Amino acid sequence: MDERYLIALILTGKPAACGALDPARQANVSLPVQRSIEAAANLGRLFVSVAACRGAAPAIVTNEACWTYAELAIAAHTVAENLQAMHAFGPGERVILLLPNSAEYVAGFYGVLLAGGVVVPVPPKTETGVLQGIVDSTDAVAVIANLQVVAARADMHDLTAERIDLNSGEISDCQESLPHLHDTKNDLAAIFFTGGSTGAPKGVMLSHRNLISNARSIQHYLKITPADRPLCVLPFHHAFGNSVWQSHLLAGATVVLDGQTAFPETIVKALARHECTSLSGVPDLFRILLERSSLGETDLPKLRYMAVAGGALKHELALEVARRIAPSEFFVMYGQTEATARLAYVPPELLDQLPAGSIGRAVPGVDLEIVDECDRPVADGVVGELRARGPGIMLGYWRNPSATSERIRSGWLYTGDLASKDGDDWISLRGRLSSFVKIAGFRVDPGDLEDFALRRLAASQAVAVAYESRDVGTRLALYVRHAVGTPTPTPSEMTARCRAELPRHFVPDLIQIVDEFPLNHALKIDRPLLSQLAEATAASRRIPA
Amino acid sequence: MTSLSIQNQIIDFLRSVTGQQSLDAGTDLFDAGATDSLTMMDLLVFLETEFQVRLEFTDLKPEVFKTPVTLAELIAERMAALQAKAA
Repeated sequence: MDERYLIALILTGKPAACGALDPARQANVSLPVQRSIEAAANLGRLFVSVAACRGAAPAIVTNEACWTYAELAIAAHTVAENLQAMHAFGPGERVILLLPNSAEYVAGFYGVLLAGGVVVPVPPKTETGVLQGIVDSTDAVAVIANLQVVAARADMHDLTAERIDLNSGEISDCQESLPHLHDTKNDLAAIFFTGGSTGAPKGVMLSHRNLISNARSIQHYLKITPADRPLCVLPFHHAFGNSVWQSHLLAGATVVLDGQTAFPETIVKALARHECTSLSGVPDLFRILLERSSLGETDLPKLRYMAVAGGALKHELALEVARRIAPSEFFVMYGQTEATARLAYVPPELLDQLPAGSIGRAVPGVDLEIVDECDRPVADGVVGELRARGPGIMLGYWRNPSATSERIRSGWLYTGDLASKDGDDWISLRGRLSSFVKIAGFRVDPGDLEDFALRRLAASQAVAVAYESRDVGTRLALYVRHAVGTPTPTPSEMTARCRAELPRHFVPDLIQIVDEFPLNHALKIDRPLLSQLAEATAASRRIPA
Repeated sequence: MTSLSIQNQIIDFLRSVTGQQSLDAGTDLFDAGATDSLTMMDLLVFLETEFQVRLEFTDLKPEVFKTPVTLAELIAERMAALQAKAA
């Protein structure tokens, strides 16, 4: 990476067990901070107020370590102080957070906010080119990482690095060095990058108010209390994962980090071992838990609920999860990064009564409306575009006013989802206006794969469709046609090229060469039919279970 | 089929999926990024299709999916058990 202006802040040091910190220092955390939660307009300060009340209570628990609220608040302050000591840093400056799910991540996140900066969470395994693009577009002044991330990334070895010992901070010292924060409610707090395949990723700008209001709304409808112990397996840098840890830490609960999504049984075991009260995940996680874990057989007496969002889980699978975890509840939820996270949810007791595709009703504080092309609300049963309004709607896309004005008009966020409502105002999704699909949690536009096929696979025409595979969830299939007389690569050669040149989630599972494409009545390419064909082809390749 | 040839097929598959030609029998699959959810599901489907075995959830453990060697040992064991049953 271009190292001219970028400084790497490397976080080190962690408590071994809860309360490893001197009790006097833990008590100290409550002295200098504002106790009034409502007065805390800065999300970082809001966290510190919660930490002040929760002091020695465990905030983050892993198999190896436990961080109390006091320890975490001190760590966040330590990060803030170090940022402020940097010449290049000032209020509103962007700082990249390049860390896996961890207490360090949370300390870095709140540390940047406490210092008045803007946090840009990025997955620690992001390709160098993509990371460089984000660094350039945000003019970031620093990257916060840990020793493992730095060791694994050759592109960070040349950066000027500074180590920050998270256990060294003194809470009473750093209060005074923090800048005076005016009413930061609508100020930019974080930029979450989404999508970005062949084009530049878009940065969703969220304010302190966006993040606080969404966390409050979630706490309300999920009835989150300090006694909760959610197992967090979703990536923190993802809007959904962010909403889970954030809503719990702001409620004084204990976030549990354990289990690996690649090994579903480790998640069930972690739920049992840590006496977790909830699990939130994407549809793929619940699909593999149903297929390849002891979910339903292992006793989970403390479990209050599980929750799915980030894509559509087939209705029959949702019902199956609900059946297996009963009497614990199963929440089917709907949201978008552009709305901070959550927009709607299905009350668990109604899951088996509402139709497939139902997203229930708006979460507290959100208005949902279904409108036609002229922005007029449609009648019951009529399909229109779903739009949302409320304090969680993003400020816009980072340095992209034209993309912002496409999505936000007159204060409404246009979701790009088609929906209808029944007579009782229950909302069901009915398809998408925009073409992107979700693959393993990534937003993917099949059009980008089509462009790639034209440029790199010698195709004269290409159609990419998403299909549902029983075993692996949503995947892409690519159908290509080559011009007569041109040398044509074989499907396996094309697959190899896709694997070499595309991000993992863009690589199609199925590539087929066709002479012509099926057409529908309107003489347009019949994409749903191709999707069905792909599903059948994929199924025929499998052995029966 | 020997454990060694199973191992080689697994290595070939993982090299093609991850694009890492340096991946070998002793490579830690976690470090190689082969245990992200997409690769993991592909790997499972590959193993079950290629070797005609069904892996139960109790098989999906980090220690089994540690390296191509440990994985090949499990597959060889499963295939031997199936043959014994058939005989």
